[in-house]
Amino acid sequence: MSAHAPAYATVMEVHDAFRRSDYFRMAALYARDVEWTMHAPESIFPVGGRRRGKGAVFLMLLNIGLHYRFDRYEIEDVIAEGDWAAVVADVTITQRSTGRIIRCRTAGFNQVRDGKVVAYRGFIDSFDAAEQILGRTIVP
Amino acid sequence: MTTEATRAALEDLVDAFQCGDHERLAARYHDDIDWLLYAPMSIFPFAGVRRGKSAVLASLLIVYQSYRIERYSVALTLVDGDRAASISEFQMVQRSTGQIVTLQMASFHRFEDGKLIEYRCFIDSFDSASQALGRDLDVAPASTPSIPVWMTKPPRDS
Repeated sequence: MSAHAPAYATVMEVHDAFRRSDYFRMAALYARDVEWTMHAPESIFPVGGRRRGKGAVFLMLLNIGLHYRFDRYEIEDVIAEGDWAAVVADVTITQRSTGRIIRCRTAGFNQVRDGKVVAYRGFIDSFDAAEQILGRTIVP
Repeated sequence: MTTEATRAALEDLVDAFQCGDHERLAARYHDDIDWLLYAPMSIFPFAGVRRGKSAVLASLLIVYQSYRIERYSVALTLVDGDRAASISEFQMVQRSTGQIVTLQMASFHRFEDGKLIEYRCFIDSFDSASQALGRDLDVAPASTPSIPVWMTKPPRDS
C-alpha cells in the first residue's frame, strides 16, 4: 500500500503544510538542494519552469501567495513506491488582482530522501489554466 | 490486482504501444475504460474524455493518423496495488506539417483483471499546443485593450 512506501508520510505532510499555508513547516521538509520543475510556461505561471535550491523554491511560493489566494486544495489520488510519491490534487485559486477563479488539477511527483523532498516534478493542463488566468479563450 | 501483476500489465501495455502492436494494446483496455487527456481538443482532437474501449481506440487512431510517433520512453514508474503512475517522454511528428512535438507525460492508471480501466494523463498542454501550431500563442489578458492596426503603423509621409 502507498502508506507503507517511505515517501508517503513525508509527501502527505508536505501537502498538509501547503494546504494550511504553513510554509515554515513545508521548508523543513525540503532538502537544501531540492530540484523543482513545473511543466508549465513561466511567462504565465509563477510556478512554471525549473528551480534549484530551497531558497529559489520558497521565493516562488511566496510569489504565488502574493498573486493568488488558495481556496481549495484536495488530494484525489496518491501512488507511492519506494522513495517516490505521486499526488493528484484538485485545486481552486483566486487571482488577487482580477478576482478570477482558476480551477485545475495538478499532478506532482516527489522524490524523498532522509525524510526530505529532493526532487519535484509537477504537471498541469497549462492551456486550460492559462485561459482561466487570462480570462479568455486562446484561439489557435 | 497485486502490485506485481499491475506492473506486468503496465509494462505489457507500454511495450505494445512502443511496438505499434494495436491488437495487444486493444486487449489491455477494459471495455468500460474511463480515459482522459487534459489538453485542448481544438488543437489535439484526440484529447478530452473518452468512455469505453471503442471510443479510446478511435481516439488513438486519430493520434496515429495525425502524428508519427518518433520516441516514447518511460522515465519513472510507481506501482501500488492496482494503480500506477508514470512519467514518460514523448516525441511525435505532425504528419501534415512536419512539426515536431516533444513532451513529458504524467500518467495515472488503474487496472482491473489485468486491463486498464481508468487512465488520465497530464501534459504541459500550452507548450505542446504551441509546438503543434509552430508558433507562440497569444497570451494578452482579456482586460488588455486592443490596439487599432493604424496606431501600430508609422505615419505616412506627406
